[in-house]
Amino acid sequence: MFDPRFWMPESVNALAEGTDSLFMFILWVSVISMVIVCGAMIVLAIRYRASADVSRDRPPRDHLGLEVTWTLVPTAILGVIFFWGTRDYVRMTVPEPDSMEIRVMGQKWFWTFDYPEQGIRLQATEEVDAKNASEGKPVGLVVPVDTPVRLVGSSTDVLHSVFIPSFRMKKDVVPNRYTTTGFRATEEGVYDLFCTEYCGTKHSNMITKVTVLSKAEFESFVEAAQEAASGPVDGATLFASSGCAGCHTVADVGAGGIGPALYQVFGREERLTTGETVVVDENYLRESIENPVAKVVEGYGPVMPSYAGRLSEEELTALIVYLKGLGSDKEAPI
Amino acid sequence: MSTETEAVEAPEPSYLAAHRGWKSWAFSVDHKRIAVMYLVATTLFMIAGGVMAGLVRIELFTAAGDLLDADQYNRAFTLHGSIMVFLVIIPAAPAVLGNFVLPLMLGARDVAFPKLNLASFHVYMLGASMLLMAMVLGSFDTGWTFYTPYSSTTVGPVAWALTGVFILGFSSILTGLNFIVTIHKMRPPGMTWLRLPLMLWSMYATSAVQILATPVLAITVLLLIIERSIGIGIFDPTLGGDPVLFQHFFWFYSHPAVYIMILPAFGIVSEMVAVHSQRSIFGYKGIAGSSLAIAIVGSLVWGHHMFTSGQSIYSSVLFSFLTFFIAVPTAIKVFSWVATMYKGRIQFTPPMMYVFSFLALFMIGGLTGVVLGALSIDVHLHDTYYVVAHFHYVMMGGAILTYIGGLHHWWPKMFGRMYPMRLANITSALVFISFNLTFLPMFVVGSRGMPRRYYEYIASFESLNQIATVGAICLGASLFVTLGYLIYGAFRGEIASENPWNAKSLEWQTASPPIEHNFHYQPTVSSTPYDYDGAEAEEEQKVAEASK
Repeated sequence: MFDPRFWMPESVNALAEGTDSLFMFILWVSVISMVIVCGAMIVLAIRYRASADVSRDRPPRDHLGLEVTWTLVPTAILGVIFFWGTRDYVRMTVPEPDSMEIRVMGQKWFWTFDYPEQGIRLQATEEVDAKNASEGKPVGLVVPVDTPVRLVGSSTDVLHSVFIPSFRMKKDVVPNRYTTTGFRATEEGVYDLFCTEYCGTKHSNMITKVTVLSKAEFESFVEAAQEAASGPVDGATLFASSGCAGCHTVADVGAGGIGPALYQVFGREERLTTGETVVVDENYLRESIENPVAKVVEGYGPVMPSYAGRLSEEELTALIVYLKGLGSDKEAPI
Repeated sequence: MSTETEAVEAPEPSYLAAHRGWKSWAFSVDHKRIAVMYLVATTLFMIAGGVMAGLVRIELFTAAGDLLDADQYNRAFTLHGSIMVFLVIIPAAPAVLGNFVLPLMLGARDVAFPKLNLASFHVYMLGASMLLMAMVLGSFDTGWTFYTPYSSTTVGPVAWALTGVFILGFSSILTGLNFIVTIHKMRPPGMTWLRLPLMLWSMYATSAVQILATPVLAITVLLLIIERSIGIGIFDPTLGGDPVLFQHFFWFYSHPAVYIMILPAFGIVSEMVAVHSQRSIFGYKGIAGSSLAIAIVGSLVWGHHMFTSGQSIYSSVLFSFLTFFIAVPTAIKVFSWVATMYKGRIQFTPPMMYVFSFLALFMIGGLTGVVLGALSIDVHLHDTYYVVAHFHYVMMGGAILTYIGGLHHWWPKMFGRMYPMRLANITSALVFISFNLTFLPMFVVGSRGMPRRYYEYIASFESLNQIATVGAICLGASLFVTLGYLIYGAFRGEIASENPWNAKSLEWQTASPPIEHNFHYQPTVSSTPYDYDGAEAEEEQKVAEASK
């Protein structure tokens, strides 16, 4: 209990250095206070139990010295804790100069990491993470060791929050504004990243990893990612990496997930929540990707985030071609 | 003199026996009957909220989702939070114990506005029905905090629930108003402000917060209803609104609401520790003053819920500073209660057991609050199970268990009968142990990184969650035993005397249960209700003699 590792995973963020020692400091203050207060309570309860024959002459109603002491001592200790916590908070929140910038985008229910300087985008959906992990590739947010990183966060739908316990770091991502925080990873390794702001059905699945690589490994990772990005656009890959697979099934499994099943979706007649019906064609698919809440299929909620401006014209077309091919005789062309 | 005249008259029936039929309850303006109706209602809601908590805990027994699906789980924790906060903890202590004892402690016949008091109850039931209607209409999954833009976009009868919360707020405001006027205008001859029972000081502070903070909740909820129903953008960014603004509005009420919940508990503990230690309270002025200090500073710390929300660094620093300030008056109270036991004559009665339990649990709740007030650590712990554990220690360990302790203290006055004391003592210990078994592991699993409101979680958090679930089942069972013997006591228990605890405050100077109009005569007061050694009475006499 008096070992910080009992309470928290090892801290690997240079900017959050003071956090653990402050936590342990308050823990000690708390334990000592508990011992004093509960100890006094137990001793007094036994000594002055009703049946005890002890002097109860003139019980004091107040005692200025005692009361001033137990006002000033906590005030002083709390003052120390306030300054300590504030100093470390400012250091964590104000990013170091020359930080590498990474843009974090939260959406239901996966993370997107954009590297503007490197020109790459990483999608951390469950499917992509599982694939990368099985192929031995870095998973989730990939960063170089000993490099200051500035995270600039935003959301496309509701509130989410980036939480990396091993970095002692957390920041909400909010639609229509940017929030920033930063870190400098000190150890290579793979760490958990959780969403900590309640965001609906798959909130607890909005988790991925942070992979800290050596600087050389990071360089080659970036090069490989740049190369992959310049290749032809593949609808099936886009479907997994854009988070579609989190809610929509594509195989012949009958029922849909959080969103409608997409097996043989093309040409299907769908009943909408408004009571209207619509035949699924290219334009309906396109509208449902760019403005999903406009025509929602009956039995489903208006929960899908908008992809307007997120996919290029070429990507959009590839995705629609892929969807058209699902369950039809013609397999989707690449 | 008074005993002689009473013996001649026929004994007046108690408030319970004075009238019959359901209308004599539902439309009674007697504060005692209204209190009993609140007692029944809040107890039923507490059971409903407890069942939801049970579902959540059983689901979390294993890391994978199994008992419920994700949406059902989200509804279960939303209902647990909404019911417990809006229907149980906020009304329970003021509306049940406050309503029952406040006029009695003042030697008054009733509160200042008895009809308004009945109206508060009816408004409460209306608001509660709206909230429960939302549950029947398919339920909602916003969390009790209704954070936007999730709450402005999710499907479900959110507007019903919000309307319920809006209406419930009026009940709270009306009760607060009634109490403040009653304490100002209806104190008996001789009861100066510094002779006011500490229960009433804390009810006074609670009422002030209810009146000042609740309207902000009403406004917030109304704005959200408008946004959902006619699409005027206030909080939803797709309509040009600001979701962080909602958090400011929401916590501007909901943080002070924490003090609406805990201040009455401070009052209850003050009464119980003095009466069951059979001595004067230590540091009367410190305890009374710190209640007011907490009410004032507590209204200025709402931003400490938002350290990671993206509010400015300067706001966060200021809110952290004020948060530490509020720990000081709280500490003063705890020290004073412990010092009250010094040279006391301590009775190991169930209410005293609840005082011991309160001191230990509230210390843990308060100290972990200091951890969360420190900016750098809060960044790590915010929205994890550490926070869940912290506020359950304060809200349940502090507020609800003390309210239950208060019921043990005033039960013989309310129903004129005593519950089985030995069973109550044993059960209070079981409640204490199972409470800690439930919530202590949550501190650890939270600081290790488990976020709150998670339906599934990673495997390494499983064993601590299993301990918590076992604890929760034991806690639920112990509380049902408590409910059982209290009901048994009210109907079949031993007849209680007027003043079984040898207390000095006025509610114990009339029959148990009290007659409909509380007192046969106008009581007068010449000391605080804690003058066990007679020092104040002596002083009074000296002053009187000197003036002759």
